[in-house]
Amino acid sequence: MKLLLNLRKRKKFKLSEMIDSFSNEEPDKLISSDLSANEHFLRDIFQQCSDVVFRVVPINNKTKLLFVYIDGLCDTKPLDEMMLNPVRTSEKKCEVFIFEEFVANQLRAVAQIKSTKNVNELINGILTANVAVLVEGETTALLADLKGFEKRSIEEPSSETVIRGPRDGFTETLRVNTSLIRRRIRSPRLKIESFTIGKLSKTDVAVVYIEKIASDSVIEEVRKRLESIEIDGVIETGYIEEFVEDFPFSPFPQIQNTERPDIVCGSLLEGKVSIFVDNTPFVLIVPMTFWSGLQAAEDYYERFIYVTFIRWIRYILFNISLLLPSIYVAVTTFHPQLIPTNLLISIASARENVPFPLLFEAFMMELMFEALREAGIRLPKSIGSAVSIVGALVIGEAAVEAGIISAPMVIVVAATGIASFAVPRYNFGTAYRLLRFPMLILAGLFGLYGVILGVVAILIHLVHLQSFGVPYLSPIAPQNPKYLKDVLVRAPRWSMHRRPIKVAGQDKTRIPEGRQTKT
Amino acid sequence: MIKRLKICLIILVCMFLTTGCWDEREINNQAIILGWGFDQNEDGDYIGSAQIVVPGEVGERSSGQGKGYIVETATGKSLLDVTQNLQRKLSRKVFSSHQKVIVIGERLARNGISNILDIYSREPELPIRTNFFVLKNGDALDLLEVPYKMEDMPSTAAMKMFQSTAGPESTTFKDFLEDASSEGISPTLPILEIISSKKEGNQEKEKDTETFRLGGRAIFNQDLELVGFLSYREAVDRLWIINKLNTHKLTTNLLREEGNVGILGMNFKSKIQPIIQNDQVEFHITLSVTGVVRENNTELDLKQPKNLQIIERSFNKNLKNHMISTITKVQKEYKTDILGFGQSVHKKYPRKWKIWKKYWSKKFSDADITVKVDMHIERTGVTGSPLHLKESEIQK
Amino acid sequence: MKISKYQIFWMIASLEIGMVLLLTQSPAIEEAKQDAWISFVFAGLAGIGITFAAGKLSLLYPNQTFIQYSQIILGKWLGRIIVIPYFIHWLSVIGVIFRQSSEIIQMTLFTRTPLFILIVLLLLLVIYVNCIGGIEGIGRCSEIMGPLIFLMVIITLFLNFNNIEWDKILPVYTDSGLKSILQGGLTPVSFYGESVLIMMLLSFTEEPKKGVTWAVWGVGVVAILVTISTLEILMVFGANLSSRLWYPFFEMARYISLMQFLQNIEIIVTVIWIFSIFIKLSIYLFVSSYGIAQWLNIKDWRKVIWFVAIASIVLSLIYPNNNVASVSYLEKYWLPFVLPINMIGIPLLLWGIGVIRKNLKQIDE
Repeated sequence: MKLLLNLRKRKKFKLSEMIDSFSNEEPDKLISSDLSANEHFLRDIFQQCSDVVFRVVPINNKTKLLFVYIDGLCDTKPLDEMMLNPVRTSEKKCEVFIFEEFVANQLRAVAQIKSTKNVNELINGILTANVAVLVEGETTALLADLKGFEKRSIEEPSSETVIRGPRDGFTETLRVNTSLIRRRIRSPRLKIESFTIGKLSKTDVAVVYIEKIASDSVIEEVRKRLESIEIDGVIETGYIEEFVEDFPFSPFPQIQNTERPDIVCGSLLEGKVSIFVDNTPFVLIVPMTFWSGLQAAEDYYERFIYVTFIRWIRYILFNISLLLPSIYVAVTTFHPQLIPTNLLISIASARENVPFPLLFEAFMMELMFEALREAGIRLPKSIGSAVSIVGALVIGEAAVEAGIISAPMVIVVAATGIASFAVPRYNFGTAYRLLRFPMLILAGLFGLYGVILGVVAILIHLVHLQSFGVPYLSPIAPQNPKYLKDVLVRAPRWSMHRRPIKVAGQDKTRIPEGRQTKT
Repeated sequence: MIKRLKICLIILVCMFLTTGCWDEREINNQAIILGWGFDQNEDGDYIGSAQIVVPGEVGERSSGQGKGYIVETATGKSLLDVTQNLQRKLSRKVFSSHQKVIVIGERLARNGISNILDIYSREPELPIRTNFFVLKNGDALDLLEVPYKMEDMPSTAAMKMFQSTAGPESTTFKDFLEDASSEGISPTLPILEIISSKKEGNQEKEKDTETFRLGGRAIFNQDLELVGFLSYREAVDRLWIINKLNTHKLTTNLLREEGNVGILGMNFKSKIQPIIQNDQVEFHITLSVTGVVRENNTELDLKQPKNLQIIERSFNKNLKNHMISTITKVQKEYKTDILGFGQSVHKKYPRKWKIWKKYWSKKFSDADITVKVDMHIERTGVTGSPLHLKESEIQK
Repeated sequence: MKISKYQIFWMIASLEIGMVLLLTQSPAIEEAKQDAWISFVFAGLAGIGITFAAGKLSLLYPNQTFIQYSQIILGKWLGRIIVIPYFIHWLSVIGVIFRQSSEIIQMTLFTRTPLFILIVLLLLLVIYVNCIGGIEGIGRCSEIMGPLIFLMVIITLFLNFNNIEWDKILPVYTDSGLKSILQGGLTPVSFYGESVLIMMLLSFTEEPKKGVTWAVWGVGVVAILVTISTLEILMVFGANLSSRLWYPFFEMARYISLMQFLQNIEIIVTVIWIFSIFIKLSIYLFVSSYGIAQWLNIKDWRKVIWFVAIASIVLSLIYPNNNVASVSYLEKYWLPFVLPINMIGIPLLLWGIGVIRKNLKQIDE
């Protein structure tokens, strides 16, 4: 936490140098009643912004209406209607144009209306997809909410696919995302609090939780941390994540992110709090434990026996992805007496012509694998398959045949790679990918002793890690045997009576005890 | 201040990283020794021979030119000395953690092997799961040079030969140490013999038809000197008595009928019961075995239970006689208790044992032995009577 | 820093099982021969008794550590003096444990790596966990390492099943006799008695009464596991071999061979050993630093850690060889002084006086 506050202090320093021209000078400037003065002022502010449209609609030859909006952000159909209506009515009635009547009758029917006398609010309104309506002679301007920008339709998220489960994913629009949550939890206890973060981006951020299920201290902490963020722009939830997390220097993430609404709703029902940010489909879920990093959405949709088995395979594979290269290097380099004799002879004969020492070979292969993985992400799909062929042939076959790499090393690296793909949460898997290299170094220096010490060191780090007050490894350390049901195994749905203890607030019961589904 | 201390500490630790690692050894810089042989020459020096794996010639990639191993020897005053001198001949460092087989030449065995055993218990790299063998009529070096085509390494062949009778996980070294250090039993070691496979018993050994086989058992006295041998069949009896026989195929002639029957024996069990009367000890040995008939060279129809009983009775008598002759031979000729009778007295009459253990070999030779063998035939294979006999020939 | 009752259980269990399993078998079997397992039964019972006594003592003043309530019970000066044997005990034993553990690791895993490196590496980790988490961090670590340790012990016992010969533990009792059996049990008791550390730790728990129960359970479970492993060692190796080996449990793990493939899994024992030693050293470091800080009225106990750490490196390297560190230390200091005074004598004395004082106070009121 001390580190966090230092970071924020530093950021505050630099920000005060970034002055937004108009917001600091005259924060309380009011709109004048002279329309042309307003128009002139606004045109000045929006100089060189070719997508800001100014339309003057004369009415009655006496009054003029000025519509200011940003082309592309506003929905043009109701806009046109809005602009034509006063012309039509004025033609009919030929009376003096009354502003309030106009507001009451015409505009409210079309869009949500907000009135303002403040120039900054007016400009902010234009920038957030409102249409500004200014009338000659009035100091009040109207902002009509006519959001009509292009949005992506709801599709299955590409980064988290499931075999069974809903296939809708979040999009870049905040309101669409919150609507996906509302559809699943229909209770007024689902609270959505709004914040605006970012001086230039003024991004809408929403904090969503279920009252009385989420713990008050966590909600309070989230509010506090969000309010203290000072930054110029928030593009993605990652920005907020880095400001808000407890241990920025830990390789393990303390905030979960997801693209799937069903995961968010499941977490909300467990008592977690989620943070939505406009313009990105990734949603943050807080607090996070080590075990949620290893859970996939499907864990809760399939039957419990199978899921328990898969869960254990995941735990084992996860640890293999960290330890296998190090153990291989350690055992073959320092303790060959531990390998069964036949295996030892096979490895020795495979390595007979290889020019590199084992540690170096391991490092090279691991780096190559990471490079391949990174390259594979960015490539367009047409070349993607070629890369895998190149990888397999060149690195695997040819290098082994040429005697540069030994076959057991290729197998070890490939097995490690496969094991690391078993992690369902991408940001969690990156932790072990990073840690594999220091473990390799330790194994190369101190053999198995180094590996064991490395594991102990990682364990010590994990044990004191916290996410918003919840210890990272609960419920295993500190132990709470009643809550181990969802960690060691996945208990059947009808026996999960309680919500996770450290996370939940007052309402701790999911299902009343003694209830089973069997007939 | 704390921060500076932390940084100092980290730099200190990093310094260790730059000094290199002390124990790193590449696999390909190790000479993996799979089999070891011990001899003693006339001067009393030990000759050690090592069978070392050549990894480059092992496996399918070898075009059959190399054998996959080489044999090297060295001389010295103790095992450690021998290893040091052996290292002078080897381009890779000696690595003996995978020794499976250690062969002792007969001359060394007769002179006593207690001087070479200490390093095997003490050195942490040498496993306790090794097999010791005694080579009859020869030097251990000769054995290590005999090629064995069925296994990659001839040493593993010797080990597997032993395990086929005594069980897949048995070893000889630990048993030897236990027997040597306890007072109720004398240690033994299995024997290997070099033979030429085509002409049995021929004195001239032709090099490319040479092979080795498992012999009986070598008997050591309390000073760990070789005093005698048991034949293979007697060694099987001994394993049976000490309850370590795993499977064995037994053949016997029937008592009243013509022909012989062979069975596969499993579940060999033995119970030694000492009974003390008037300061003399008697041993009642009950042996039991479960058998499956595998070969029937008589005309009996084995579907009839009474025929099975005939066979069982024959086996019981013949096995009992053989067992008694083995035990008598050990008692009278060698006078060393390799069968664990002393241990059974220790367990049942501990107070008597305290007195007797000083002159146990005398007491052992004078003891009376009664043996009872109980064989139980479970199955007879696929048929009852041989399929090639005519109906009239079968005896029901 | 708060710890829960489960953490007490796992901490006591982890810290005891490593050394008892590896170091005490050989001396016990040397004394009691094939009846050594009976010695371990007695030792377990005695260990439970010691833990119970220490626990009851701490319950008199549940929110204070040993250093504090000894001053209350015996008065300021006497209370401070009576704690000094404990400081000697803790500081010297940290050095010995470092030395012994590094010797084992060197014997099994390395040959040329200098002891100093092994010790320093382990020390860095122990300092890390103490600085970052204190006893809470150690408790959580032990909740993860403890089950792993137990699992590995059980696996080792299980895999050795086909090497067992039941009759090796006969004849029972006649070869040794009550005296040797009890004498063989002395060394294990002195190791079980390290659970008197709970006198310092119970003040950090939320429910001290349950803490005592779980601590006793910890010693009990360890005693059961160790007795079973002694039985198994005797049945695999016999009394003669196991009394001469330094570490019979380790050799037993080495002897496992299953399907000709699962061999040489001595690494399991090494892992058990390193985990257990790590927890033990961390607790000792914490208790020493915290204790010294309380004794000298120093506010931040973390600063004392550095002093204790350097002292322990020095103390671990002053022994010329392993024999002096293990055998002489055990015979000349640990058994004659620590066992009767620190583990049995002083707690019982304080308990007695404490109870009397409380009764007197109640009579006064």
